Amino acid sequence: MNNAFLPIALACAVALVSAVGVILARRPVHAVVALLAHSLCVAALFLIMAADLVALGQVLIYSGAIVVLFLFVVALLPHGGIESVVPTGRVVSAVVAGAALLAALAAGLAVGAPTAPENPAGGVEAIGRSLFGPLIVPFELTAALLLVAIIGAVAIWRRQEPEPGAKASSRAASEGSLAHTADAPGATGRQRLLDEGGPAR
Amino acid sequence: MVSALLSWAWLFTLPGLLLTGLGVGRPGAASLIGPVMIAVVAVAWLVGPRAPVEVVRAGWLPFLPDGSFHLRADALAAVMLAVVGIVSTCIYVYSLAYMAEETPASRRRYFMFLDVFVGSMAILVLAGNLAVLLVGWSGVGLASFLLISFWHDRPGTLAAGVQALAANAVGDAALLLALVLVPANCGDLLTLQTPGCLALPGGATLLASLLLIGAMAKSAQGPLYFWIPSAMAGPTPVSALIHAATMVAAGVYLLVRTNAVMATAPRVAAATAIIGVLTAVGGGLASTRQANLKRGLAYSTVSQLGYMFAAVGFGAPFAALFHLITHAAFKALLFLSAGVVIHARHGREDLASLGGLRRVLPGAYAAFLIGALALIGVPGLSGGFSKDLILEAAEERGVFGPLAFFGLFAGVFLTGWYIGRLFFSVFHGPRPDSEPIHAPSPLMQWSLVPLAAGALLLGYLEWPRGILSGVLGDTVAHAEVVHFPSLLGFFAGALGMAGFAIAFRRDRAAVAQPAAAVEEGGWVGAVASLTTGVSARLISAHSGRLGRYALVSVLGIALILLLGLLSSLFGISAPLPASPGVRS
Amino acid sequence: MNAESLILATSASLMALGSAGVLMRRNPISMLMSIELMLNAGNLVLVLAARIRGLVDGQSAALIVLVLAAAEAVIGLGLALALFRDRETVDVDAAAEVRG
Repeated sequence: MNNAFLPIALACAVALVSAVGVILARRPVHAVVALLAHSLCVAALFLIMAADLVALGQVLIYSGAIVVLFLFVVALLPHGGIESVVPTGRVVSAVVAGAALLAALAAGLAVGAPTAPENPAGGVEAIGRSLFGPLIVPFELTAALLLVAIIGAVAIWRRQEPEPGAKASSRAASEGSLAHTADAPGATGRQRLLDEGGPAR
Repeated sequence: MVSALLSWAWLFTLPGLLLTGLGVGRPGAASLIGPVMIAVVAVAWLVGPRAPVEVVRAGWLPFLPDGSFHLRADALAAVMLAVVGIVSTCIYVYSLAYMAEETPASRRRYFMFLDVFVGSMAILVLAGNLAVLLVGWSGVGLASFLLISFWHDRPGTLAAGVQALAANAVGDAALLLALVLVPANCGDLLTLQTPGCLALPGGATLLASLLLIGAMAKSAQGPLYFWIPSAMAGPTPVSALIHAATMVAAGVYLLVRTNAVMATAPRVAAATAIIGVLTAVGGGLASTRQANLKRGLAYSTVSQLGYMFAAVGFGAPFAALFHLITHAAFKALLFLSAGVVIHARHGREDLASLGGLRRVLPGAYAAFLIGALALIGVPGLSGGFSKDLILEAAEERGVFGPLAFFGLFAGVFLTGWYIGRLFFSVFHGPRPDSEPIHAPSPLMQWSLVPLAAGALLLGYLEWPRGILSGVLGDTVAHAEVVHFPSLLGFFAGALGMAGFAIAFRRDRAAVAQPAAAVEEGGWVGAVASLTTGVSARLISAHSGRLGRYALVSVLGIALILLLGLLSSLFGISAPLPASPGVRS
Repeated sequence: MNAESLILATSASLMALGSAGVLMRRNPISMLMSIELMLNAGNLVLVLAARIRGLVDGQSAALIVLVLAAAEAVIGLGLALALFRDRETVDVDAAAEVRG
C-alpha cells in the first residue's frame, strides 16, 4: 500500500483538517460543508484501501444522505442553529478528554506497526458471501434497526403535535408540566418553524 | 427399652391431647403428660444406654423417591427432644397460671394446640428422611398459625397467623421440591450428600440451597424474618415456646442434621454464613428500635438465630447446636419473665407503659437479669460459652476475610444494648401510673427456676469436660473445643456489657422516645435511612446534563484502554494472537 | 512511517477530535456531526483491518456501521428538532429534567 503513500497522506490531512473544521465552526452550515469534505476524503481512503463497495456506500449514504439531512435540519432551524458562546470550562474539559483518549489510542499504536499485503482480498462478491454468511444476523438486524429508526423519527416528531381544536389547552398543559425556558409563551418553536418556511411549504 | 421408647416420642402427646379434648380433669393438666414423658425418656436415653434406633416402614408414600416412614432416634434427636421436652414442660406449667383467666373451653383449645405442636416437633426431630421431616415441618407451622391466631377475635391476630403461614409455606415448598427432586431411594437425611443422591439437576448446590431456603423460612432468616415480630400477637408462653426456643430453631436443626450436604456446596455454605451475619446484625439493630417489649425480644431471637446460621455456614454445626440449646433456655426465660411483667400490667406490652417494676416483681427482675446476662454472653454463663464458640469459628474460618467475624463481634455490642434497653425501661425508672399490679402466681414464678438454672449452667456441659459433644458422638461434626477463660470471650463479654451499660446511662425518657417514634421501623427502617443518606450524597452526580455524562464516559474509555494496554505490556493477559502482516 | 500507520494515526486523531467535539459543543447538530466523525474513525480502522488481514468481514462490518450511522442521524436530528420545538433553543443543557 506504500506505493500510494502520497494520496493517502493527502486524504488523511484533508480529512483531519475538515474534522477540525466540523468541531470548531460556529455556524452549523460551515460545519456541514466541512463534514461533506471529510466524508469524501474518507471515501477516497476506502477506495485506496481497495474497499470499493464501502467507498461507494460512504459517498451515497454519508455524503449523499446524511450530510444532506444535516443540511435540511440546519435550514429548518432559525439563524441556522448558531449556538451561544461556548464557556471556557467546557472547552478545557473537552480538550483534556480528547487528549486523554488520543494518548491512550496513540500508546496502543506504538505497540506495533502493521503492514498490508500488496494483493487485496475481496471484491463485492466476497462481501456478499460474508454479509449473507457469518454476518447474517447483524445484517438482518440492521433491517429491524432501520424500521425502528423510521418509526421512532416519526413518533418523535408527531408526539407533541397539538390536536386541532384543543390547541391552547394542550399547550398550556405541556408548558405547565415541562417548566421550560420559553421566552415567548405564545409561539412555540414549531409555530415559528412554520412561520419561517418550515416543512409545510 | 428406653431406646425403643424414644422412637415413639412423637405419640407421647396423643393421650394428653385426647384427654384434654374430652374434657377430663382441670383444663390442661392432662396435657402435661406429653412433654413430661418426652423430657423423661430423652434424658433417660441420654444418661442411659444411648443405643440409636431406626424405624423404617417401607412403602408408606410409594409415589415419592423415598416414601418410607423412617424415624431415627439417635443422640442428636435425643438432645433436641430433651430440650423440647424440658422447655415445653416449663411452659405448660407456666401456661396453667398464665391462661387461668380464659374460659375453660378456650384453655382446652390452647393446650390441644400446644400438644399438636409438641407432637409435630417430635416428628420433625425424629425424622429419618425428608418425607417424615416434612410432616413434622408442616405440623409445627400449622400449630404456629393456630397459636398465633389463638385470640382470633382480637384485631390483627389472624393476619399475623396468615403471615407466619405464608413464610412457612415458602420453606415447605423448598423442602417439598427437594423431596421430589432427589433420585430414587434418596431421602435419608444422613445420606443425602452421597454422590448418587446428588445426581439431581443442579447437583449439590441446588439441594443445599433448597434446604437452606427451607431453614431460612422456619428460622426467620434474611428477608423471611418478617413474620416473627407479628407472631408476637399470640400468647406470651407461645412466643416463648414456639417463636423463641424450639420451632424457629428447627431450621438450624435441619442444617445441622444435613450438614454434610452443605459441606459439598461451599458456595451455599458461604451464602449461609453471609445471611446469618447480616441477620444477626440486622436483627440486633432492629431490636434497638422497638417500642414493644415482645417485639424487641422477637428481633433478638432473629439475631441469635443469625448467629447459629453463621456458625453452620462456617462449618461449625456443633457450635450452632450448642448455641441453640443455651438459647432455648435463656430466651424462654426472657420471654416467660416478660410474660410475668405483661401479666402483672394487665396485658400492656409497650415499653412506654411499663417501668419501675423492679420492686414489685423481684422474681421476674432476677429472671430477666439472668436471661439478659446469658444472652449478652457474659463469660461463665451459658450464652458466653456458646457464643464464644461461634465467634471462634468465625475467626478461624471466616467468610470475606475477617468481615464476618467483625460483624458478629459488633453484634455482641448490639445485643448488650438492646437487651439493656428493654431491661432498664421495664424494671427501672419511674412507674408510669399507679395502677395496682396483678400479682404473679407462685406456679408462674417457679416454672422460671429450671430455665434460669439452664441459662446459668448449661455452658458447663462443654467445660471443663465435653459432655455434650461426647454424648452426640459422630451425629454432629465437631472440631470446636470450648476455651474458658479465653481472651476472646472476655472481650466479647466486655463489649456486650459496655452496650448494657450504655443502655443504662441513657435516660428512661430518652429510651422510650425513639421507640415511640419508630414503631414499625425495624431493620427496614435502618436500611431506608441508610439509603436516603447515601443517595443524598450521590444525587449531585446525576446532573441530567448530557455533556457531563459524555465527559465521564470518554475519560472512562481512555482509562480502560490505558489499563488494557498496560496489562498487555506487562504480560498480565494473553498476548494478541499473531496474524499475517503484523510485524512487531 | 508507512501508510498503514498513517491511517491508524488519522483514525485515532479523528476519534479524539470527535469526542472533544461532542464534549465541547452544546448544539445537538454539532454534537451529532462529531459523532459522525467518530463513526468514520471506526470505519477506517475496520476497513484497514480487513485489508491487513486479508478478510472482507471488516468491510462488511463497515457497511453495517454506515447503516447504523444513517439511523443514528435520523433519530438524532429528530430529537434535535423536537428539542427545539419544545424549548426554542439549540442548547442540550437546557434539557436537564432527568436529574437527581
